[in-house]
Amino acid sequence: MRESYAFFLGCTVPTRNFGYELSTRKVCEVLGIELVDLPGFICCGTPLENVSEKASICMAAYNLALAEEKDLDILAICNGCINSLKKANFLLKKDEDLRAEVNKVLSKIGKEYKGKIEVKHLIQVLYEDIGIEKIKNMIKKPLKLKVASHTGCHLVKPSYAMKFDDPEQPKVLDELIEITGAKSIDYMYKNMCCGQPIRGVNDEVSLKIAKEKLSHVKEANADCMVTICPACNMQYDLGQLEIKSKFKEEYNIPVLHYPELLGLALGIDEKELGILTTHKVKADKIL
Amino acid sequence: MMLEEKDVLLCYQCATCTGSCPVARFDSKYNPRLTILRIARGEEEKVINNEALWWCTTCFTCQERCPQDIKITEVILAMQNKAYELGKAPMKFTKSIESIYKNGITSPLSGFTLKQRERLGLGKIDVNIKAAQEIIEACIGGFKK
Repeated sequence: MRESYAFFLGCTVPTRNFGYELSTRKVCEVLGIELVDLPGFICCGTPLENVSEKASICMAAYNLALAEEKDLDILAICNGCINSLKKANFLLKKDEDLRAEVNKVLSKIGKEYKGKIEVKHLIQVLYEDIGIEKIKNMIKKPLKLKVASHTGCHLVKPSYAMKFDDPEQPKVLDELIEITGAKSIDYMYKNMCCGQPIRGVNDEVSLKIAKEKLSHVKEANADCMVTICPACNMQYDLGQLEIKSKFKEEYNIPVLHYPELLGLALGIDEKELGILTTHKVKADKIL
Repeated sequence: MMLEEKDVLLCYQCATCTGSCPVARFDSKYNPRLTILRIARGEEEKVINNEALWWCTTCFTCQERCPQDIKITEVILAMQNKAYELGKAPMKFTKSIESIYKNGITSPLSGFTLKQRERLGLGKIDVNIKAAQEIIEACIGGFKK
């Protein structure tokens, strides 16, 4: 177990999900997890997997090499980044020929990945390295909320490479929600994809998927949703405004990032977490 | 995707994939069962020329549930890679390549973004654009393709 992690921000978090970055930094500070920034990082590779698997793996490998140079494992907070980095890491560790091929590309930028580090999502670090009991003991303001969790697909699937939680019925996020005092509720199609990845190619279906999920969250009387991926979060948060204008349906369900929820329960001031300033659907009613 | 094409021949058309697919639920033009059948029949061009090839959310539900362990999502991604090489990728993907080539990440670090980060007390972001460019050049010959 290591206490310091290379913090891989990715593309979306540092440019569009400031609240997620803020709350992650705050919560890690309180829990004693040191986040070391990675100067010179690039996109994780996920956006390129549709056009070139090799390019995608090389992008991931470059970032893995950056962290390996610092002798640190990577902590990331986007499921897309986790998926790309973890899958590349799995393949590169297993397949020497692939590693040689990828390192040939990386040698042009003076990098080499040896296959010595691990990649973990924030919630995996909280669950496995810090532990439920330790976090539970640090809760100062137990929350009285009914929360609809959305773990997201890319944290757990494909399971042969992600090797974390149950790919069909993930439960780690629910457990982490419950230690805040909140109740993690069931709702129909809880484990269905949010639909975000096909934004820009089929917006109609993408929004219909989000609408279906949101309607069941509403039916289950959730006070808010909680996500652990910036893409899923935008899909449900910003998506509610789009659904309102396109389908004339209004849900008004705040969609928090998990460290925002945990941060509140740890007694961190809402302003330091950025909850009221960084979401489209205002979260004041749950504070 | 480092897949053996014979893998799809194991498919017995049970349609667990299509029944599990969030996209197929809302638009029947998207049909992973039929995609696998077409590839097994050697009709790849039908798959590659179908705009619905790009509607996969890559949620991997079909792949996880396939009773024959066919890597369905990865087969679809491999078909998308082939379609891209033939110049058939939707603009979203060519735009992504261009943006990563120019910015190192998918979103530009605009003055507005940097100002907001500063206001919220978030640090500077240091991206190695040259590294992203080298990788894109080496793997797909730049972004203009």
